[in-house]
Amino acid sequence: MSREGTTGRRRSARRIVVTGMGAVTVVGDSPSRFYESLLAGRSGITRWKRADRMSGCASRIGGDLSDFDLAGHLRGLGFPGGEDLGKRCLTVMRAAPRVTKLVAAAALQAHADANSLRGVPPERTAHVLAGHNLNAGYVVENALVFHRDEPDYIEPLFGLLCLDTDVLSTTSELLDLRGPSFTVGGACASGNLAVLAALDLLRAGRADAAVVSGAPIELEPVSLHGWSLIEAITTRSFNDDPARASRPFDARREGFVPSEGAGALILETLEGASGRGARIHGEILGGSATSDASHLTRPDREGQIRAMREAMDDAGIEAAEVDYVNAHATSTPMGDAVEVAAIEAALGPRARRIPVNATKSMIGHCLSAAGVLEIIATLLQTVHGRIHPTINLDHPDPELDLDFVAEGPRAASIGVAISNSFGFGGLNSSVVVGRFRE
Amino acid sequence: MTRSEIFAVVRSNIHGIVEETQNLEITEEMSMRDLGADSLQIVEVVSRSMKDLRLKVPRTDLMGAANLKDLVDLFERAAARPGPAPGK
Repeated sequence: MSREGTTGRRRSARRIVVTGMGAVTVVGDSPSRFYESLLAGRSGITRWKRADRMSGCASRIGGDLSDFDLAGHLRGLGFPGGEDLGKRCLTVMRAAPRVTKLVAAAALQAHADANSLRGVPPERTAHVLAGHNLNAGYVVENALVFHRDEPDYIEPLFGLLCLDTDVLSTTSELLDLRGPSFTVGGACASGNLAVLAALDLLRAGRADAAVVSGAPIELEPVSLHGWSLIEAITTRSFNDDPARASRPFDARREGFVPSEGAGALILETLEGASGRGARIHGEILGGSATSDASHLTRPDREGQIRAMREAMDDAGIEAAEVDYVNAHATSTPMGDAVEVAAIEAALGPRARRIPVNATKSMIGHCLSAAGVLEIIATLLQTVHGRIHPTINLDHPDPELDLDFVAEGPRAASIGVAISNSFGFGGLNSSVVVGRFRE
Repeated sequence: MTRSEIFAVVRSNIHGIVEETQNLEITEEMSMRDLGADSLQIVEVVSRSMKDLRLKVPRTDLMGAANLKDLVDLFERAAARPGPAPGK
């Protein structure tokens, strides 16, 4: 692997590796169950489970974790981090909104996977949380109580628990994380942007390890209806067949499928991880973020190309070294087409020789958690050498001509992969992930 | 609503919110501070109890309550007044 990119920018001397992963998704509530479902081509998209709550909303389907039960989850996984931590979790989050519980569940898994970061001082452990406007559902429900019932009957701790930072700090409290902690907001690019922020912290020596939490946005009818009005989400053709709704690169795609899910990664310096004998899942070789100077939803090919090229430069790799792309691929008509064109331009002839798949075809679009979950999917595929399919590609869009892995899972040796995430408001990001080599 | 019904609601919220009180016998002479509640837990017990009982007591009155007896007194007086209508 080369150490310099196409613009000659030298890769950072400090290597950053992933030593922990956690996931709670509609197709599996741990990384291994998540990956097993992805390989099986299993969709987690259903009709909204609480139809009464969604009354009047044009959206009928999505990835719904409204029945997530933290106590059951912790028991099911054998209390990651220990039974005492599990019990403390239930006490601390007794009245917390669902998002806080989902994030903590994913972070606990990742932390336990990283051997509880044993040997890393809490003061040297950062926490970066991806996402914003996370508790929209909680806010809406309390607004209804305020206006329709009695202002004093809103949730007693609303003033604290409605904040995104409470989601961050609850997990920091549980895991005793005392380094730099903050949220990173970038719409649907939040996950990748949070990974990049953690990468920068670790490269700069501001921390030795970082928990990166990808937080879901609690889906509620007002936001969903708003997205339907701007025709961003699917509302028409697949309400009676939800598992078929998320269909990136297919001719019948009609909008993204909103979904809930949380992911978490533990990033560490290679030096620190090796020193404490941690198991290494892979390396974050580099990444980049660009923007389009536009507040609208329209994706921009040039901004996406720049993100991928700069990410490769930052990672010190050439396009010819990329073995796989985990596409942002939300199943919108324009978004998928622009991204395919951008991948073709950024990778040149290499684009047609490598697999490009869409995790969202099965889990839907997990919004601010998407980037983290898709990096986890990328790492798992890299470690196990098996690529998951893109499902629902029944009638491939003839204009989109890459290898989307439509036929089923496939064995592949992946040394270097790119994971893309793009957000409303012209926010583009790409992260380069590598199989770990000494 | 009887005084004992009001106290049962308050006690149940204390048991649910303040750690390590589940097996304690709670009497009206106790204060929530005695039971180990922090300031946010006190707010939560009082607010949830008011909502459960469909009462409303001004915050300034609540600040004068030194123990659970004072709190139940306030709730009892409020219960005797017309309260917020359900789903106003």
